[in-house]
Amino acid sequence: MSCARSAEQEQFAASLHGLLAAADAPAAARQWASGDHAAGLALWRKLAGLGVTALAVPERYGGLGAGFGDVMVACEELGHHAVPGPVAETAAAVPVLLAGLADERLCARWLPGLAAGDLVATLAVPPWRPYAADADTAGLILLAEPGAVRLAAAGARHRSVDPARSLSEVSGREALAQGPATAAAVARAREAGTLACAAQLLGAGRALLEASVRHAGQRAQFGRPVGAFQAVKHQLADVAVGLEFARPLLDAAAAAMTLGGHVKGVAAKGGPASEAGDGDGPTATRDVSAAKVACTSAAQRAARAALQVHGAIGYTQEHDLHLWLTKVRALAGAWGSQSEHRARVMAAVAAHGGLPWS
Amino acid sequence: MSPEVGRFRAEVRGWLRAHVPAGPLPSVDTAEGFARHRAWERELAAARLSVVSWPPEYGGRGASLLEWLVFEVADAWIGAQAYRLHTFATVGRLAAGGTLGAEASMGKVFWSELDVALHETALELLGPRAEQRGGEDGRWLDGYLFSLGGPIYAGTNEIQRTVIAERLLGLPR
Repeated sequence: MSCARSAEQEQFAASLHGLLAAADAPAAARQWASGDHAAGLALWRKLAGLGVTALAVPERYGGLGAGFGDVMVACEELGHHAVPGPVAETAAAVPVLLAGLADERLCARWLPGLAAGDLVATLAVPPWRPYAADADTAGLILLAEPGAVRLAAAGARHRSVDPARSLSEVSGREALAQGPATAAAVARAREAGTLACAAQLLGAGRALLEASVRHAGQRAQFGRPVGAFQAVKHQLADVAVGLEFARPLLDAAAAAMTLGGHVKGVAAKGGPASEAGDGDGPTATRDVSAAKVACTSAAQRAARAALQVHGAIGYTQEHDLHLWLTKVRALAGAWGSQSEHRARVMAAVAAHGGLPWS
Repeated sequence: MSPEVGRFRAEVRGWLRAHVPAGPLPSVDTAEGFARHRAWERELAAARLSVVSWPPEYGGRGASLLEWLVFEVADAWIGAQAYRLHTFATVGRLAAGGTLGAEASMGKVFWSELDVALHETALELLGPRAEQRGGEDGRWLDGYLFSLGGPIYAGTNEIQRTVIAERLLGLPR
């Protein structure tokens, strides 16, 4: 069993990296933080041009019906460039929710706009996600609870540690879907959003490591680049190890999720469904939680090391580093805390037997 | 969440629903408030809910151990799964004609640190039996003692980290 990325997926990631590097995503994030969303939304439309917003939308609604592996490649690259806005919501959770509700009327109303990149969407999924992220920029706000999915209105707005992000309380209005089938669609959307968030964290962690390596190679102290000192080298080596071993968990979770849904995609590998081996359901939730725990830990280790290696300059808002540092802190607690995800892993592993209290 | 933790949560929720005072208590600065607060604390203690992380013999429930075990064992599983999946990917690359270079250092550091952490968790679970040599339980001690060599043999982890930093990350020598 191998869930490693295909050559097509590597190319897709490289294209996104090229686009985002050329588009100066940090400048868009700074403007977003100041309340000017124009550059960020323009960036969003450019990403739509490469198919990012269409990946999780079924083909019959103008999407690409891609596998989760492709969605995660995109979300990781958006995290790599600290792209502002409700990324996990618009690129993963909301399209997965609407497609999962399988209501022709709802799908036709919103999925084509999402796929085209014209519609930015967000949602609250209590209890893990009681607030909707970046509701002030969203054309569609949903409140997804096991019993019902509702259109929602944004209420009180809270600032986030990430200046390019806000959290809004929401109140439910018109019910769009109710009944037993709703719970399954909401659960799947929650897993999709959680995994997308994990992918963003992995991407942000990579960016922090790259920035640290660059800085450590340039900044000199005691007549040598600080990166020549073993104390710095070993911190960054540990960051590299953490990121390296978080990735297979992310890829495996994406493969497990793909089993429960669409399998075709722009960059889909030969047979994603047959490679996963385990199946949707308890295994998918376990794998999503394992990926979230590992990606969060790896990104947080990268953030701490990056701040330390950059010294005082990394602590300032003048340096772009803070865009990634604060995003990691915000996303670390979004879509479920570390202890909630560890508890889910534990529950799934214990259910398979072999542990002292199972 | 394990059935045990689930039961504890259900019990606490049920108890709180039945016992939490309807309105906010008066300030502890007043005599009435102080008495009401003390009565509430006594009620909590009677249900063994005021110091849940203390051992049962002192009125607690040893809850912190349970939480800690969820943390440690879940992390051990996640680490082992990551190593397993990473190895599959590496084997796949080698089978396809690829080669293995300095990135092997990352596997060495990850695996050897995981091996020590995993055995430390196992010994913690064994509690007073952890120190035993030989027998069924003693296998974990054997494994632990062997794991301590992991970060040392085949190139210490300090050497490996330097290799990772210089050859993979490109930091200056």
